[in-house]
Amino acid sequence: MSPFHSTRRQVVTICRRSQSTSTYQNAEEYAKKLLRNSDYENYVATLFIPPAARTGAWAVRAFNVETALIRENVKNPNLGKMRIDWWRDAIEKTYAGRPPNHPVTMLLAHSMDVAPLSHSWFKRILTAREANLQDPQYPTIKDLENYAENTASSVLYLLLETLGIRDHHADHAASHVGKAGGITTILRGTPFHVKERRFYLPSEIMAKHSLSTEDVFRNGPSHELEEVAFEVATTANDHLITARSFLKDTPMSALPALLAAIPCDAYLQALEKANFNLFEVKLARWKMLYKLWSAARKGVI
Amino acid sequence: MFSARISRSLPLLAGRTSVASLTRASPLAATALRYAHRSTADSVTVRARREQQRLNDDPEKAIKMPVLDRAAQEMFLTEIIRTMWLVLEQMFKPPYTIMYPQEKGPLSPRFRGEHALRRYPTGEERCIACKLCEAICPAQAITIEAEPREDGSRRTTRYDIDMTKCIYCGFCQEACPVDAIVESQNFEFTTETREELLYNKEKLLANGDKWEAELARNLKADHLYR
Repeated sequence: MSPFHSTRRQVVTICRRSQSTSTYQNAEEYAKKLLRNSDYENYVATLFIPPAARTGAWAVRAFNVETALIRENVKNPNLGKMRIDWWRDAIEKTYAGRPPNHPVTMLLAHSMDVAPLSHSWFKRILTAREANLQDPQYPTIKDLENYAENTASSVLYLLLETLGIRDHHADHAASHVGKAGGITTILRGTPFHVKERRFYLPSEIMAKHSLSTEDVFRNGPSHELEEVAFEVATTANDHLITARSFLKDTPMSALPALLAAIPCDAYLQALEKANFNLFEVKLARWKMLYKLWSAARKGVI
Repeated sequence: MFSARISRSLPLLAGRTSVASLTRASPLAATALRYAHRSTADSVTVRARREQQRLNDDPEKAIKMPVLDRAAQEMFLTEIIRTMWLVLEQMFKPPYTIMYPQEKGPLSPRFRGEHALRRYPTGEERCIACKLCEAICPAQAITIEAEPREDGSRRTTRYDIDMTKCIYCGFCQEACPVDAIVESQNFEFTTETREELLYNKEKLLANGDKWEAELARNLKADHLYR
C-alpha cells in the first residue's frame, strides 16, 4: 500500500469528523432555537445546568417539544400516530447507534456518549403522547396526574440522568414537580384547547360543579370553570409543596432539573391573582426570569 | 332576526299574488320558514304539510295583513323604493373588486398551496427519506427513491410530486416528522404544459429556498400546550 493511500484515508476521516462535529453543532443550534421558540421558560431553566450536561438537557427538552407539538400539527390522530411511530423507531435506532438524520436524535446520540439515558423513559413519553392524540377528557384528577407523570415527570427523570444523579429523593421530587408541571401546562393550554374544541380538565370535577364542556366551548369563562380551575390548580400546588418537602434530602446538583417548578409556580400564582379565570392570566416574562435566577442562587424551588 | 324578517316580508309578497296561487305554493314556503327556527321535534316538512292542510280548509286564513296596509304598500310602491335605497347605499360603498395580479386578497397561514422541500439553516436538506408522506398520500402523487449517502445519512435520490394528481389535503406536511415537505402559500404556479407540473426534487427544493422566510413564520408555535 502506498503512503498516498493512507494520507488520503486520513484526510477523508478528518473531513468526516469535522462534518460530524459541524452537524452536531448545527443540531445544538436547532434544538436551542426550537426551545427558545416553543418552551422558553424551560429553556432558561436548562441554562442553570453545568455546561457539560447542557447538551443532553437540550436534547431531552427538544425531544419533548417535538413530540408535544405533534397533536397541534395534525388534523387526524392517525397521522399523529405515524409520527409517534417514527419517533419510536428513531429512538430505537439511536440506542442501536444509528441515529436518523434528525437534529434531535443526533443530539441525543451525542449526549448519550456523555451520560447514559434510560430507554424506558422515552418509551413512556411516547406511549403517553400517543394516548393523548385521541383528545381524551381525563375522567379523574388521578388520570390527569398519570398523564403528567408519564410525560413531564419522565422528562425530568431524563434530565436527572443527564446530570448523572441517581438519588431516590431527587426522583421523588422530580415526580411531584413533573406532575405539577404537567397539570399546569394543561391548565395554561386550556384557552387554546377550547378554541380547537378540546378539553382536558377532569370530567369528575366538571360534574361536581355541574359544568359541561359544551358550556365552556360556547361561553368561555364562567364561575363554575373558575371553581374547576381552582380545584385542579390546588392539586398542582399540593404537588409543588410535596416536592419542596423532599428538597432538603436532595443533592444540590439535582436542583437545575427541578427548576421546572418555578415557571409552574409562577403560573399558579398568576392564576390565583386572576381569580382562577383561565382566560385572563397575565404572566410577566422578566419576573419569571428573575425568579428562576434567584431560585437557582438560593437553591430552593 | 333574519328569520323574523323573512316571515314578515313573505306575507307582503303574498299580498301581490292571487289567493288561488297563495293556497297552492307560497303558504307552504311561508309556514316552513316561519316554523324553521322552532322545529326541534317535528321536521319542517311535516309541520308545513300540516299547515297547508289547515289553509286548504279555509284559504282566508292565509291573508294575515290588514287590508289597509296592503293597499298602502301597493299604492306607494314601497318595495320598489326600498330596493332603490339599497342600490343607492351600495353606490357609496367602496368597491369589493381587488386588482388581482397587483393586489392580492388575504391568505390564512394554514393555506395549502404549492409544495416545497425545506432545508435547515445550514443548507442541509431536511428530508430524511422516511417515506411517511409517500405512504399517507391519498392521491399517490408522491414518489420517493432513497439510498444512503457517502457520509452514511439516508437521503432521497428522487422526490417527485405529480401536481396533477395532488389534491392539496396537506397530509404530507402533517405526516412529515422533520417538517421537510410543506405546502407553501403560493397558489400561482400555472404552467403551459402538463409536464411542467411533474415536480422533481430540484424544483421542490428551489421552492423551499424561495419561500423559506414565510414557511418558517407559519410553522412557529409560541408555547407548549401539552
